[in-house]
Amino acid sequence: MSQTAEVNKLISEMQKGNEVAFAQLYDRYSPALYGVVSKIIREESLAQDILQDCFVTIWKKAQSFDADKGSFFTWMLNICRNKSIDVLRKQNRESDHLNTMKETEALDTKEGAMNVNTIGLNDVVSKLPEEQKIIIEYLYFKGYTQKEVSEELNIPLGTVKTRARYAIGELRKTFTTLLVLWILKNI
Amino acid sequence: MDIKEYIASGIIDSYVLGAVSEQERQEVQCLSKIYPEIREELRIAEEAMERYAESIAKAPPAALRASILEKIAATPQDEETPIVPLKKVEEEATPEKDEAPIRILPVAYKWGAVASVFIIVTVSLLYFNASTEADKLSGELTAMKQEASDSSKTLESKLNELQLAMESVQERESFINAPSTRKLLLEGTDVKPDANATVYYDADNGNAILASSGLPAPDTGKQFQLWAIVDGTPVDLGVLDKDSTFTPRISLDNANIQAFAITLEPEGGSKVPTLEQLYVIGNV
Repeated sequence: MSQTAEVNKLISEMQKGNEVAFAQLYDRYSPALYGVVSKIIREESLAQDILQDCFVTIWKKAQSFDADKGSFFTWMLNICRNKSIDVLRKQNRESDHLNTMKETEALDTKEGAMNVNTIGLNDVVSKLPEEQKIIIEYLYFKGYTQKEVSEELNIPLGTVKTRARYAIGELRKTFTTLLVLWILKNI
Repeated sequence: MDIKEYIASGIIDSYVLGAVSEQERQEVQCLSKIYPEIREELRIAEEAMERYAESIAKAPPAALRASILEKIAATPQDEETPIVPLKKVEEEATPEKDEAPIRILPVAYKWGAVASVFIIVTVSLLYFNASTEADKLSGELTAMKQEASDSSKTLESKLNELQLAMESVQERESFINAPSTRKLLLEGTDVKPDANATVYYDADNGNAILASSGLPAPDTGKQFQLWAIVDGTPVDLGVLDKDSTFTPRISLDNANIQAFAITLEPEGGSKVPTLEQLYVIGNV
């Protein structure tokens, strides 16, 4: 937590156009952001292009970041996630008319099978109950709207939201546990 | 608005997962400014996603870092558009005022004043109408609520009555059907040969119940009275209620009962039975 003041200083420096501050923020946050981008976009070189594009946006729009509206990390996370989803949707649209038949089949066979290759084994999401795992996977990493998920999984819209709530709740719990473990280990 | 319900709906979590509509997105942002609970919930959820992103972190190649730094060095930052100060507008407006012919201004003001009054009156009337309507509606709502609560109270008391009635029937049933309870038939006498009554009697604990459905309706001013014959002497067991077929459970101190009998007596009952009006009798 003592990092916050330091990070805040870097942010305000970057907002003034300081490239060194930007580089330090890059070093601090790029692994997490790249983790998210490359979970959405499997193709490595494309994921790297997107990450670059994201950081250029972060730089360009730095002045529009408002700490009152939320954390800097979340702000960057949203930029990266949204750009990646845009690319993913475009890809899907292009391959849609080719693969409509195949995809329908694949979705029909099993959701579980699909998740095995999209979620890494060490990923905490993979440890969530199946239905919550699927919600995070579809909403966050595949960019489905709630309505699409509701139709896809044939569950009511309200259930999609409640499951989203449970899933985030589980994530929170997981990280609290990890934090406790970390504290115990480091005392 | 029910903040807890709003939070529990999962909309904040859906927002954090980037899965809400544009309208919902604005709603969450707006509400998080108004309600600290929502802001806190949002912060916690966002933090969870941040921790999650950290947990799946993956270092991008070093070459990418160089390329990005090079790129931003050549990219100017977007300037935040400054908010135009209001003062400027006033400054522009002032010289125009000076140029305008003074004579015309008062007229314009008059019309302005008339228009203002008109607007105020109209708005007041609209407001008055609306609030009268609102009062009326709220009055109706209160009346409906009252009605609903009254009828639910009536139903509740009816239900209670029914429950009590059912309990007493069940109690009677179990007494009548108990193995130690005997069924005694009281048969009609010459006064009314086809009259009859039944006494359910448990000699072990001295309890009895009388079923009087076989008796005729008593004449006005008259009432049937039940007697136990103990050692040849009639003992008063009380008068029968005209409206109910069964008596409540009667406790008998004396277990040495030889017979039960019913006579017709003036309303309220008699101290000794009127033997001419003996309707039914049955031996134990």
